[in-house]
Amino acid sequence: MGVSVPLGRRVVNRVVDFLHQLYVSIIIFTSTGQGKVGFGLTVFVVALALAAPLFPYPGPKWSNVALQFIPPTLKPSPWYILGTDYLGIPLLLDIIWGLRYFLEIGAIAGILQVTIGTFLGLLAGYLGGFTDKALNFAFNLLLTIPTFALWLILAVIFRSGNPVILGFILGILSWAGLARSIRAAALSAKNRDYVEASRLLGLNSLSIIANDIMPAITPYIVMNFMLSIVGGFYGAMGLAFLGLIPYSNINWGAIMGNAFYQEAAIFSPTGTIPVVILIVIQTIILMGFVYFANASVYVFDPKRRREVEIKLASRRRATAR
Amino acid sequence: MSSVVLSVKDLNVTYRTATFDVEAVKNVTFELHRHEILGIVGESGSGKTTVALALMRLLPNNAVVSGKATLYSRDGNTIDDVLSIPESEIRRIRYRWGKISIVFQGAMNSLNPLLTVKDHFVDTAQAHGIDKEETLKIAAELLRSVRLEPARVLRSYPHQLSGGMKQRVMIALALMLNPDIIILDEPTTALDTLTQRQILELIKDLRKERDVGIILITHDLSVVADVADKLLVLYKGYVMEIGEIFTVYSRPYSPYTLMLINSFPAIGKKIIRLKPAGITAKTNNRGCPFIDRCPFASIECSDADMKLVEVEPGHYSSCIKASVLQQQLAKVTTSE
Amino acid sequence: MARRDIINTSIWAVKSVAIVIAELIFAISISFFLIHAMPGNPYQIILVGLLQRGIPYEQAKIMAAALAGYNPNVNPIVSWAGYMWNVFHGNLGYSLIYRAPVIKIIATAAPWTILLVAVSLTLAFATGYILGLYAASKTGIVDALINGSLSFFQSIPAYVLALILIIIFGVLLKIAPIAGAYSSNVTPGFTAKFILDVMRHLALPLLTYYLVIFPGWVFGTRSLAISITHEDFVLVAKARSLPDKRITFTYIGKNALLPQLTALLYSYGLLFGSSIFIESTFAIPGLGYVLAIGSGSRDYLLTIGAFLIIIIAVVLGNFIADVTYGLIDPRVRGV
Repeated sequence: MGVSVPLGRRVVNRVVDFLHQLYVSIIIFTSTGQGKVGFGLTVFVVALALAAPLFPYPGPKWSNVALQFIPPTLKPSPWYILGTDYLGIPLLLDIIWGLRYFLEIGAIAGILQVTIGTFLGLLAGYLGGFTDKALNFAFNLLLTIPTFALWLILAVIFRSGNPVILGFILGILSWAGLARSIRAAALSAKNRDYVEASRLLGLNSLSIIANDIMPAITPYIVMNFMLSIVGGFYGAMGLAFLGLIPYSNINWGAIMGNAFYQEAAIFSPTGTIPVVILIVIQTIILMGFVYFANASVYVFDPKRRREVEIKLASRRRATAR
Repeated sequence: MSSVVLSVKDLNVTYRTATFDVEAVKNVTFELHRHEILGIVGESGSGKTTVALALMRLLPNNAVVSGKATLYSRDGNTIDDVLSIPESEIRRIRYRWGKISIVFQGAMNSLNPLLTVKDHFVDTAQAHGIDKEETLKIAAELLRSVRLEPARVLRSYPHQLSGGMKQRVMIALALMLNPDIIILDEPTTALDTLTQRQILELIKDLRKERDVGIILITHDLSVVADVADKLLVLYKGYVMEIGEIFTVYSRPYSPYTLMLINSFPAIGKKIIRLKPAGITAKTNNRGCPFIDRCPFASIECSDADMKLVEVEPGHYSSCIKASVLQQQLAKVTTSE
Repeated sequence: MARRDIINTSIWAVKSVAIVIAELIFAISISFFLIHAMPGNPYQIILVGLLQRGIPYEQAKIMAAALAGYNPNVNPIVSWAGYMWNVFHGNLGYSLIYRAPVIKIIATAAPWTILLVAVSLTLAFATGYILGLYAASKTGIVDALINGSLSFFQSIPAYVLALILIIIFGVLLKIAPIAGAYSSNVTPGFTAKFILDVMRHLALPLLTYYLVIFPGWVFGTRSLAISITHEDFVLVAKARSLPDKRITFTYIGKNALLPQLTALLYSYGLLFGSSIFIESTFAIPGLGYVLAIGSGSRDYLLTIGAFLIIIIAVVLGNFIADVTYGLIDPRVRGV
């Protein structure tokens, strides 16, 4: 072997390979009805959340008490197409910026949860012995605490609606469940033949973990990440609904809570409409996330990926002939 | 003189999946007689179990079946088109278990772990209209005929029985309704050699004493050599060769059979290892599936239609070189 | 039983009890920590209240410690031990907004939560189990319909579900009361009138709990049943021409029941999270409601008290589940 591949070419290869894997993933996502809906919705929602700065921020200068809880209308401007909230601010803007807010909380919580949970779970499962017993005991201990109740109490202590703080607290509290699943998966993967083979070949622990054990635990990680986003979503909305964190009009829970508790708006026929709109939109989005999470299990299944690769390859061969 | 109990012609089974189709069984044709054991041999994935499930009408919904199978029942009825009559008809004539039954590989998991052996007999009986007292009598008799002690076995749960005992319970269950055909799918795999011997003796007794046709599916040539009357060699869903067992053994007319027989370790016989001729298969639907491993392959093999041709009375092969195979073989062995 | 089995079982029993004690101590310690982490000092507030009533300082200090359930005037370890002692004797402090011992509030609140959770969980499990078995045997339209509608219900948070039900049944159709556990003009007691009134008021909250729990059981039983369907003995049962009903219930169903029952024993702990929302939305004075009200009003002793009781309920429940499971499956005991 004389010629080594130049760095530029290597980078290009990596990028092309990554894009190809992405393409395969998309095919698997869109292979079921549920997957199509979930994938499409999730991509749309994330894009909208990222694009929120393109829309005006629903701040105090938009508030107009005369327009409180009005149903969809195109006057005074098209922004009011979904109606208004308890401050008279267009619901459409609340929704778009709210998406961003909730996804921020969910993402931060998700990243923290996944990082801590995976690390400790792998530590326990792979090292075994006393470390495992001690860590497992700790996991079980932490799991007796109802996460949401504690999050509620801590959120009230901090009296903050700040997404970073809320997400951070949630992430720190909720990793134990994932750690336990990862530990179980790592334990069973550790005892498989191919891991034994890798060890005999003298591969170091890190590469064994990366190559042999990771594929077994990736589905858990992805599922859990999606579910923690959903959990952060619900939770932040719920806290505002109950009035336990300061009202912010971009938190849909605050709007619903206000409509229910304060203004009793839901008892008037038109007042119900904004609440119903919020319920419908939020249900659709969360359903999309759940479908996405369900479909993502297949995306990481090596057997499925292999099937798709074979089909792509044979299609390519057919057109080449 | 034994009569035909089952006649199968051009049985084809294709499994449809989300990504592609798998052709598991291709144009399988054979006849089964009463008091006869037909051994179906092949590697894993050759389609052996699929044939059994097709005959039992137990294939999953994504399986597409074509072909004709005729059952000549003891009671005088001839059931044409066993493969295509609707499910309601199958149940009305009590086809499954009444006319044909099956014992699966490793009866480890064939019994409901939460029911006793007696419950299994009662369940089967109730499904076919036999009353309880009658059932217990029949069950005791059947268990004795497979050399088990009824009193103890009937009240046992599956986990309280050994592998061999469970296998025998399954055989007794399979005989319960006096079927015309019994299929045994790998009856001795996962059993120790001593138990294997006992089960095989049992199977031989079944052939002698009962008016049934037996299909024995296995990958183990020694089992087949011990017990079977006829041999059907299956490879990737195709019938390679079929004939009386001693004839096939002494004069194989298909290179695959030859490879099977030769590659089996035997004490005191020279093992001939032949290298593939290096012909690659085409991607279309014709051609011999063995082409990439066959030492006698040539370009015509990639277009072979795999039809069974009678090379000797009662002995069929699908190899297009069957007639010249013996000479080729002689050439190879003398040059070694 | 062999002597070795007796020894193993005893070891397992001791281990289980030790774990429970460890979990309880952990939970109580967390509560202790939270009381001190909360802004606002409950002990101080109680002390001031007593002093304002003219009680001498030294006496007030002792009374405040007894009422609050902890004594911050001694070193932390002693304080912690004192708190632990108090909790084991039922002293969870004093509620500022209800002006009564926390334990008393909780004692009146707990039955509502227990009633709602027990009834809805039992109903949801039983119906979910049966529907799950049924769904496992169907493919195509029926399956897609069941999956679709249940996924829909699963993705709606509890309070939104509560809101929807309130809007439909309370506001639009006006057939069910939407707030409180009973009407204000009915006196509590074991009268038929009262019981009927309670049932009317608990109907919507019960339905909300049910819809939150039910889909999970259907999906769980369904996937368990599907995996059992792939077992050999189910194929053999079909080969033996057993009727479909028999196969679904005795061959698949019976084998799915035990794992699902054990899952049931462990599952009710998750309901306490939903109880916070459902009880608050319907104004049912249960543990969740108390927790929410307590934290909203900064009545921290009440909040922490409710929180602690919830944890204790979950720990004890898990312990019962562990013991039951160990009794059923001898391998868990080490036999």
